[in-house]
Amino acid sequence: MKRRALVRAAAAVLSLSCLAASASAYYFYVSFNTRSGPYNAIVKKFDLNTLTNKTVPFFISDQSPVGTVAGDSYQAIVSEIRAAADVWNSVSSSQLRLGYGGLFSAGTPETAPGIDVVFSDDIPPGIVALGGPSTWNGFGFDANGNTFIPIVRSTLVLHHDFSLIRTEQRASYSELFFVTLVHEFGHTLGLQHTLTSSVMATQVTSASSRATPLATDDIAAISLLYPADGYLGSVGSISGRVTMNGNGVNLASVVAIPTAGSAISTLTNPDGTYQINGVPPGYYYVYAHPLPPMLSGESSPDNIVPPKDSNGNPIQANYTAFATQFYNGQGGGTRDWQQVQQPLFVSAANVTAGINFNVSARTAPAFPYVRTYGYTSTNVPVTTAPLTLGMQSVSLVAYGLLQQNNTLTPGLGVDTLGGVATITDIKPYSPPYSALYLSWRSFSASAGPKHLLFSTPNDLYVLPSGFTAVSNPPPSISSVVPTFDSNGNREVAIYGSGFQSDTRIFFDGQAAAIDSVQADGSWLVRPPAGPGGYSASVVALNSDGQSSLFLQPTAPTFTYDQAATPSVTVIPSFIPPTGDTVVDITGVNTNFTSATTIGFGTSDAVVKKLTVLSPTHISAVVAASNAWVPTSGISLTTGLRIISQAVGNQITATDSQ
Amino acid sequence: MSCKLTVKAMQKVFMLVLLGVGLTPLPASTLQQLSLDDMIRLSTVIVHGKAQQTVTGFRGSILYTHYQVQVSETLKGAAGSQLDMVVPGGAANQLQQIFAGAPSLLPGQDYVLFLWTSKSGLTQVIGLSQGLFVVTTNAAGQQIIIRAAAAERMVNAAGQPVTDSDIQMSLSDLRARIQKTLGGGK
Repeated sequence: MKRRALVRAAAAVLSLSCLAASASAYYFYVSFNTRSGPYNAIVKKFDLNTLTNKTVPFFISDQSPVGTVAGDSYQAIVSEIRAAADVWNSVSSSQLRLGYGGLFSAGTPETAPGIDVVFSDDIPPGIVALGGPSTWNGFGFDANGNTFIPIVRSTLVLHHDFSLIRTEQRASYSELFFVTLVHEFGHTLGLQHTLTSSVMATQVTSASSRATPLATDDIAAISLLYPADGYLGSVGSISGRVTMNGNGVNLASVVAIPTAGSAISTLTNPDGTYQINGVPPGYYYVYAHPLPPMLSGESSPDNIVPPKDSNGNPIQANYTAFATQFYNGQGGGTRDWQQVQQPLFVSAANVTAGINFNVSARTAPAFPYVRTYGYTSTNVPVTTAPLTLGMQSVSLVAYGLLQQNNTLTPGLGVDTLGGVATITDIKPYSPPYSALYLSWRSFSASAGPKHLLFSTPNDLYVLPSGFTAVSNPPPSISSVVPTFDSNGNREVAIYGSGFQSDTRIFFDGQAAAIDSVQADGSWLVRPPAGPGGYSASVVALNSDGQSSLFLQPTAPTFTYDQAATPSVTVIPSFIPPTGDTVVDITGVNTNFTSATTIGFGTSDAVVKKLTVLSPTHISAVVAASNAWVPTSGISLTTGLRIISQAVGNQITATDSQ
Repeated sequence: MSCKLTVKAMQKVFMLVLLGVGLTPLPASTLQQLSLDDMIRLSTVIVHGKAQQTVTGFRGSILYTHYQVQVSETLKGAAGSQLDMVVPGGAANQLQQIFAGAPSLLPGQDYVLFLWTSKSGLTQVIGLSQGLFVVTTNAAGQQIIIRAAAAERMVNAAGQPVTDSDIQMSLSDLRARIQKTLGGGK
């Protein structure tokens, strides 16, 4: 028994070490220190050891954007940026946290790691946002002994002139603007594009929504880069090799996909080997597919930065295309998921190995990209459409499946993984539209993302999360009515429909506290703090991914009561660059709460502890490095209220809208 | 719901969808697809020439790689015989900054560049890589512009292979298209 236990323990350790030292999993910014296998990826990531409380601070430019939609504001944009950062903070299996470090002024010198969110006049038309990491030449070692390249600074660039952003994405509360922010933050943390319809997917296939931005792939990505204690032992791996004519295929995408839930993937190494890590235990179909052809405007397929060899040279994909195939226990695979006799079972802390693919070359994939839309009852097109369970006939609009003369691709077959729905009709649209309708019925699925399969006689395209099965219609807000609670405090009554027990109400990205549900179905909420006279857009989000914006792309608004302009005094006026300094902040007309944040707009002055003594009094412990130059001042943020001014002076709220 | 009604409803919806898809952001750092006419209208200058990488330097938080373009022909706007343009990201003094989708220009390669100059005077390719075209000569000796990189592997945002004149056309046709789009002026 004892010996058996030892063997088991040794096996477990081996399994865990395999996970810890694994080369692949998701796809990060990768370098190799060798020109031949075995390949161990060296990835770019923040060095947790250099961060206070394992938190990378982010700073938002104090240059207020122009050209925003009517009713939008700087406060709203700052709030949405903070909310997008919090999406990554919601991943409990990742140690890394993003901390709002306040507003910063251009030219602020900084030496410690951080992320700058800038509003730039230098972004040309045709770009919505940019995000990326900066690294020094050099290496670090993580807690597992793996070599990595430390990110020293990252930048997220948005337009200063929002009128240059397309209309649907311009409002700071819009689905697209928010998902773009989450996506770009992912880049700043070290994540590349993926092909599994997650938030790090390109927008051509992203199934991300404001209500449920992250998918399994995103969670695995950030967790593998910055694993929390116990994470690596809670997930499993799938490994194998993709070959073509006996040679390893570089940069093939290998995807594990469950019938219920979202997909997870990685790209192959230059010798065709791969290992998908971070796989939650369960049953998976596994398929290999080529990178899509470059879209016009891309500099590489899917704009994925290829791995670099030991000389810093990119190692490009060594194929044009190949036929997609599911793993079925035989090298040749299958294009028919029903021919997969048994999905693979992945258990925690174990590697399911030997999942190999022998793929056949093609000159081009049958379908490079497929994009699906549904439409709501108010005719709003929604990607990865929510289709209500039990409906007898619903439609999707799909792109990328027609020939140039607008006829169906010969032999086109459409299916769902697991047979969760059946197609009743396929109709091409009349020219000039190159899309088709897909009508469905007989849902037998549980709620959640569902995967579409588009096949031809010689190829297959899998669209993970092609639609979302839901049990209820989206929420809708019909009116927003100011009222008071029994103590005379401001409340807001939210009238509408489709509210569920898990519905959340947001005012310009800040969550409102839900007090009660009234007999008439309206919800009484307490709005987050906001400046006097400020107008906030109100959005309801359900946990099934649906939003009130699905029915009402223009959100209703709430106007805050007029209020006296707040001011604060900060003592001392200068923070010495040695040890910790207690900073005392007293305010007039302020409403400090536990949600109040203080930032100095630079990663060289860090707030280590903050104590709210009263609505008008805060004490903070601040550590400044030798490099700190107090050029950015201090900013205090409570809900939607931002107070910003130079350190040492009396500080007055920037309540302007 | 009858099929006829469904189609009618969908046609209405489809116009909305089309608005979305026509402007569907492309992947990358997040891009918004520009048509050739969009690029002609929005570009500050359009030039034909060769580019040579020069220096890399910061402007604010962003590292830019500079290229000096030797202009052989100006197709729109006013450009001298050479101009300075930049691409976001690059490497300098041991520091590397990455923005996925940023183009890399090859020395000696003939390009048509749709360029946009910001208020601060920074000149860049419009739409990250969208305004970058390679110039080649076909079997008939005609100069052809092709969207940079392997044109045979490109598709548009609807997933259709792109072989139309938006991506590949003769240089003389481009000159005519610019004239037409700008109403006869440059």
